[in-house]
Amino acid sequence: MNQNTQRIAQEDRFAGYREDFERLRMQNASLPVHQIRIRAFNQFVELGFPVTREIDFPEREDWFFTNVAPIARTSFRLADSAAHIGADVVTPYTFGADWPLLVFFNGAFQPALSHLNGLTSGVRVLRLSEALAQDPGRILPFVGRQADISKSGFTAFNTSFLNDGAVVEVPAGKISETPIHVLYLSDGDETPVVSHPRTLIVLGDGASASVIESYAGGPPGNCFTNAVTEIFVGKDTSLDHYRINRENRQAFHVSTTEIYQEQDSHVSTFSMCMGGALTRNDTNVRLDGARATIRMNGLYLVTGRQHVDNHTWIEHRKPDCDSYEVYKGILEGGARSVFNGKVYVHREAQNTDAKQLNKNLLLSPDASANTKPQLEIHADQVKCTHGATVGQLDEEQIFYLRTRGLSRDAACHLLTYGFAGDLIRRIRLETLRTQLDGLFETTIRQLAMAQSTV
Amino acid sequence: MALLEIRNLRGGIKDQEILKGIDLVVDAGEVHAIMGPNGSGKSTLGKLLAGHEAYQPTGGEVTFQGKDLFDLTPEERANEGLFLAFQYPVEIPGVSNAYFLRAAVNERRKYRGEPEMSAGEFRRMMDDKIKLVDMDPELAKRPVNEDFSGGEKKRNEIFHMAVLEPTLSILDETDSGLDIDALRIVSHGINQQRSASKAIVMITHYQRLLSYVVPDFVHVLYNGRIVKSGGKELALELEDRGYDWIKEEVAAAG
Repeated sequence: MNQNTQRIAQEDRFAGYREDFERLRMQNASLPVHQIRIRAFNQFVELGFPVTREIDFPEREDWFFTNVAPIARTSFRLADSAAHIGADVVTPYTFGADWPLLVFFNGAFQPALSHLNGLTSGVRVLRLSEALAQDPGRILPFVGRQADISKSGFTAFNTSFLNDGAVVEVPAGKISETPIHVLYLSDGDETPVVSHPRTLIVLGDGASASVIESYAGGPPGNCFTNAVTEIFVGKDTSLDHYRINRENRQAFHVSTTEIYQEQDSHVSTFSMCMGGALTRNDTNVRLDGARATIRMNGLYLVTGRQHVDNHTWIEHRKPDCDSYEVYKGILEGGARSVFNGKVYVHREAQNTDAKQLNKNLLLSPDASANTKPQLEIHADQVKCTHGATVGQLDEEQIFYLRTRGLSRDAACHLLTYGFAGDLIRRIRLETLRTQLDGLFETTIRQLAMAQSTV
Repeated sequence: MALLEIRNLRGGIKDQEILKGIDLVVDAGEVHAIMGPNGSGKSTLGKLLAGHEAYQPTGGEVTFQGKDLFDLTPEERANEGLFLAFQYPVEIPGVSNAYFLRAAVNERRKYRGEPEMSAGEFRRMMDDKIKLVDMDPELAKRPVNEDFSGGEKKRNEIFHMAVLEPTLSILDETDSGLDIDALRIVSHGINQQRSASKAIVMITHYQRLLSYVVPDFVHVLYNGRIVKSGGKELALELEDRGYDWIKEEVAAAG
């Protein structure tokens, strides 16, 4: 099959997507955003999905270890936008907190479950669709500025269906006192369902905020979440960004997070992934002002046939910026993980301090981890280190703990907890830290139990 | 009934028999020192008694408080009151000393059918024990042995011993790698824990620890057997004369 016939075949596969696209156009074609969607859809048809191991597409090297064929061969449809869910579905995922909350279910906003109680005055939190309809001039300059549709089929796909999601805007000098939680729930039934959450976070100079993006789902169902988040932080800002994935274990999840930082901005990200059959997270960071810092912590806990892939890309464009990245994975059963972290230091970015570490703990002989930390340095005065490990629980450590009275299971649990507990302890929001610590403990206890019965 | 009875114990690692028939009886209230040249089997004895999976008995028997030791898993031995202080204490990254010890104390209580110790109760007990062994309280908050100095690791073993209150402690070369000040502090910690109901077996290469923790009995382990036993003066004699005369005696006895 040559490339042309292949493309036609792919277009046919996209017939369902084209139908959904037309349906969306009928709803609100007059909006300025629709021009963006048309360009994106054409781009999506052109790029398609980055199905692996196609030697004709060297640009798909980034997808070598993650096979998205199960996504490419499924015809997902947009969910019924009128779908509503009950409070009981949401409660397990709110961390017991009463933070301002926006809830979406399969892409549909849930007004009855969302609220902005306690939101610091002056901080804007609203639905993207509302922002696009009411004040497009204010929001459109940010949409797609970092999330480039020409680089990624998934970003083009998301942008084609750009419709709803969350906007968090903290004006200059404003400190958002309460964390802001955006919860995207997804759940398919017989018809495979796709949603394209889009989140936009903008911090004006001197602003500060904490934003939590949660992705979750109830009972197993065939669904695909294709999320794009764009983050812009101005000078002297501080942002804590959390991304928690607790989707069901049949879910497909692809996310792209684009972070753009100006000088003296401090961003801290924490990504925790437990859900999903196939998960791919791309996080791209541009440090575009002097003395900007980013700390990226990531934790993935996977079992069974789960596959999780974290790609991060940190670009040091200006001098005196720091980036510290630690991703840790705990894998059980036949789970697989991929980590690919690239730090790119421009010639101008003198005095860069970059540290990157990926550690993997395999609790089962069938689990596997691929890890590839990379540095590309064009400046001559920098401090850059990177490292990666893949290992198992250490028998001497287990014996040591047993001589103090811990059972083998308890010893394994403690060692597993110790392996990654430091990442949880670094979470600054106390409520979230306590909740995620509990979730982490429970999850590894389940993993350890599964392991000891092998 | 003796606390520990070892009868003609043989065993070692893989196919290599390192212990070739050990006899040793330890009663409550006693402090024993096991000395001997390198490679005589001292550490093997400690690991075998604690239940390290790589070390297996091939003959003989060991009873601890009347129970067959080899019927028990390492954690059961620990919860029955056996403690091994490691020659090279293991680092446990990401788990604080205090968190770990509370888990250990509660495992023991569960084993003995006692209620769990509350966080407050545990903290008070821990503070007392830290003082008892004269340890820097900061070390209790840090991950177990991680980035501890050699001396701090050894002191931490004695701290664990103080918290767990074992009836029988086997201290495997707890004195090695200690400078004189650290040795004095560690010895003080051990002496604080001597009591009529407990016993201590010190495995050591040198006599110097024994000037601080004076043993009731000294045994010389050579070539997998206890070839000589005596009082504390035997240690001084070994310090004076080395081990060669023992080796010669053994060779002469054929």
